[in-house]
Amino acid sequence: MGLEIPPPEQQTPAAFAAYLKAELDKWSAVVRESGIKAQ
Amino acid sequence: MKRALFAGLAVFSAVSLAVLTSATAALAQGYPSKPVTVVIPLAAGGAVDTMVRTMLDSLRATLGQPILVENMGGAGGTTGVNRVAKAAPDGYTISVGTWGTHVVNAFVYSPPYDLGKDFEPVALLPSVPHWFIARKNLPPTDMKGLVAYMKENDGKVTAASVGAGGSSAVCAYYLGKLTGTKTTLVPYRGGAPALQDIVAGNVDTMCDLAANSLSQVKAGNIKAYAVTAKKRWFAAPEVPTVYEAGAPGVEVTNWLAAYAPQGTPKDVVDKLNAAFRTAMADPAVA
Repeated sequence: MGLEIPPPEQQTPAAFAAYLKAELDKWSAVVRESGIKAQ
Repeated sequence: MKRALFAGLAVFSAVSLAVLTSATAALAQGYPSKPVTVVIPLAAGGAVDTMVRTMLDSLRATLGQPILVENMGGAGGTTGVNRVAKAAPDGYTISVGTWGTHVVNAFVYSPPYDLGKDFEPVALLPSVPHWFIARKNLPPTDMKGLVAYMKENDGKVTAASVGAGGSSAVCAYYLGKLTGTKTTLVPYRGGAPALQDIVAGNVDTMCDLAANSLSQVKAGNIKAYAVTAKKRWFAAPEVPTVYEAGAPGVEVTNWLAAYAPQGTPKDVVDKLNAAFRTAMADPAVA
């Protein structure tokens, strides 16, 4: 399937929580700026 | 008198803490004692569904309980995500979704949950990068050429997207934002018809989930310009990254992850996390 397994240090709940927060911060800004909305 | 009162309060606090701790530990120790439902906020049969199902045997073996998969697509997956947001925080109803369903769609749609507050992050799961693909007779031969071609044909180059929003649309927008280019989005009902139209030459480009279009790229029916990641994708190492190909920073990875409802005890989250990590160590998953 071509899947890439995350490195062990990213596999803990705490590491994922930090990564998720960073992703939410990054993409909320991008998506809002884009004006993309569900139709 | 005061000293006796403080001593009494201290004993009471210690006993209360011990009771709470032992109750949580008891829940975790007994967990799971019944089947665990994994809600996938996408239709059955897709890449995410397939990936989760490859993990089922391992999850079942580690947790010692049946794993029930519930596909709940609709509204960009927000229906399924909301089902888990409102579920009891006991570890028996969890969600596995993608960067698209759990991050992008939280902003494209207006879901009745807050992804940052209504879930306990359980585990980051495998990922697949996107890549920029194009019909095989599109003039540019590489990513730099594509960016230049987009600038020359301002807004005239078409980009297929799955739905009006979704990861492919956001990725196309992100390329435009970082390179000063603009494309015209052409929405499709799914990844398969979008890909068919690129193969047929009816649409110019797409920022596609690489796994979706790998076979068409390998067959030479379409071309792939660059992988939206820091390193090359092992399944197609001949395709350069956006950093190598002249579009630095256009990094878009569609990662999967597991979530439990907010308030799920930490010990339960840890057990689920351990089960997913064991499953990821299974060579059959990658």
